[in-house]
Amino acid sequence: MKNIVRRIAGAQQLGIILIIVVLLVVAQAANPQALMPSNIVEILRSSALYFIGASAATLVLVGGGLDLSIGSVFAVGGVAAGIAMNAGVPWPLAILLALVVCGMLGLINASLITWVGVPPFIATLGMLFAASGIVIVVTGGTPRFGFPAAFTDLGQLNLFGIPLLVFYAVIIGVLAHVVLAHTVFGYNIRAFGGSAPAARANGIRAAQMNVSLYVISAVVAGLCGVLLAARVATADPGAGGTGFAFQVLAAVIIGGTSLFGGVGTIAGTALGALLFAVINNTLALTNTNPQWQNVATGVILVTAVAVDHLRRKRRFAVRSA
Amino acid sequence: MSPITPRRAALATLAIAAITASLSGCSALSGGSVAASSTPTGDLREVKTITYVNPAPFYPSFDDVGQCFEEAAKANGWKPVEVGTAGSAVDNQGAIDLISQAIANGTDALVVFPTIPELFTPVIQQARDAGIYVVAQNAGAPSIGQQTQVGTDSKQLGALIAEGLGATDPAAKVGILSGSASTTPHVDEITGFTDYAAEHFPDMTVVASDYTNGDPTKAPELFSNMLTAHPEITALFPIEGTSVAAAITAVKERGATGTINVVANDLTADHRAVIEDGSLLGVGEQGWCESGTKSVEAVKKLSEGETLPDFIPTTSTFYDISNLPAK
Repeated sequence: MKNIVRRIAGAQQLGIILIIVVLLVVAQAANPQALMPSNIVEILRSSALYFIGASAATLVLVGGGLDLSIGSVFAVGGVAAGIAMNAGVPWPLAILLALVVCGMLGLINASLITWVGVPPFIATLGMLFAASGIVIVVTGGTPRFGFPAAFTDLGQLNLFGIPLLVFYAVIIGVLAHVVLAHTVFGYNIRAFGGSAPAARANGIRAAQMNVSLYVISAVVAGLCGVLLAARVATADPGAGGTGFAFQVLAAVIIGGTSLFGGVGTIAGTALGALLFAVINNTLALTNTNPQWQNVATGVILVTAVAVDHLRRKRRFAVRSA
Repeated sequence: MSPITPRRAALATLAIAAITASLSGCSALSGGSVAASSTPTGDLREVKTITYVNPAPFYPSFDDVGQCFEEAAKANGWKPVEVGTAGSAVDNQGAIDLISQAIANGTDALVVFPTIPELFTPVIQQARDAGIYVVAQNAGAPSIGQQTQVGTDSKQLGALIAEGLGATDPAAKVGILSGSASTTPHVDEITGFTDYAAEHFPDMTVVASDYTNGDPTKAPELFSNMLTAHPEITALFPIEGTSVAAAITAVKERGATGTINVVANDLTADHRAVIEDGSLLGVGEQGWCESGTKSVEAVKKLSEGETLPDFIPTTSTFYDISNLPAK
């Protein structure tokens, strides 16, 4: 029992859990709707897409990479599926096509990083601009709509009163957790992110690693775009963007994933994504100026990275001693 | 390195003075990037090239403005140039840079959309100092140096939407989602909406307001939170066209279609489809094409020495299922 308490108290995500609890208490005090099941469901629904995107982003960051292009690949996913469905392609095939297109974009990112030597920040930033431009050029900025009901049901239906989006998020989160924590691939991701030269010396192939990570990241970002298109029955070329990319990355970092690679958990990322949804919800329920969300995000983000930096310094000091 | 002798210093001073004098003589030195071919303010400048700085090329309605602008300019025998910022959100700094470039490239007339008017004042003044005709497409804003304003009277548009909503729900409790607190057309539209409601529908009130800050992906969450925080809401008003689908989704997810009305801006193809299926009560449609055409007409009149009113309004109409025009 003592051990369990000590483990909980020592958990790096304890701070986030405390903030979430405090916010919910404040929200409940201001508005009795806050802890009603319907509001909890809304919080989960709000965080679902960000968590799905953040699960893949966690793998990339733990592997020592960075993918900024997820914002525009998000739009590519929704719009590509929309265009295909408008052209009469059956919706399952349209989704598949959209994910293949997104996967190709991920492959381009990986190729630039692995074989051309472009730093991940630059390669994916370039893709962020290029892909968003292509989406606007192809659609002329016009949203796509008029999708089959079976497609929109994917984003709109509930099961036992819980939106399907939440179930997708749980499934993808569990998959990402299993991959990261319980597979050889996951072990290799952590090893590669922790020290790429040491990982290479132990036979981990950088090319294979980068291709896998950036393709997964792009496919999952595209899937988020497809799911949003299903939810709102419209594929908006302006969806995603830097807003989505930065919120996803912030959720991952706040959840305890190190910006320097090698360290991170899907559970932490889930808390990071949940925190954003709770902040937004609390601000709405307490009638607070919504601009405070950005202030809160900034403060929490910097604190999370500072804590990570201090933790690493302490570990280094302990090892050196 | 050799020391600077008095003789060298004197020669250098002389050379700098000579260069400065010659540049001043050909008017190449002036404030900012004003082109050498600029005509002094006051003279009637002949228009050969007219530039439209499109604030949102990603949004289909602004594409309509651009097309009508080009057709009208060509009809006058002018060369139309349309430029716009990249990306999927309004980029004020990018638009200001494009205006600066157009001035430097020697355009004769500018049609601009100063989303936050005060930000654009210096560059518009720079254009006017260079003798360039400037027409702004931003109604209701204070004068910021342009010669006239053409476009939607945002307050009138807001009033039209209040009128349209009031016809169905005169006691509506409204939640509004706009772009940002500083986007002047949105601020004016909300003012027009609330003023009209206060005068004609005293029981209609705005109970919640929020902003997307240019990120339409957030709109479903913002509307959802709004409906939780204010269960009394009976109408949603997404001012940005990109948030309309999110408002309709939030209403649907609560099973409140028909109970909570949605009103919006712009009769785009997707908005028409949801008016037809009953998810959207109606939209305030701005005179997009008219805005492009009238801007060119205004420049024509300015180049002929006519004095124009401060504001030339375009037509706004509220469309719902009862008066939806043919496709």
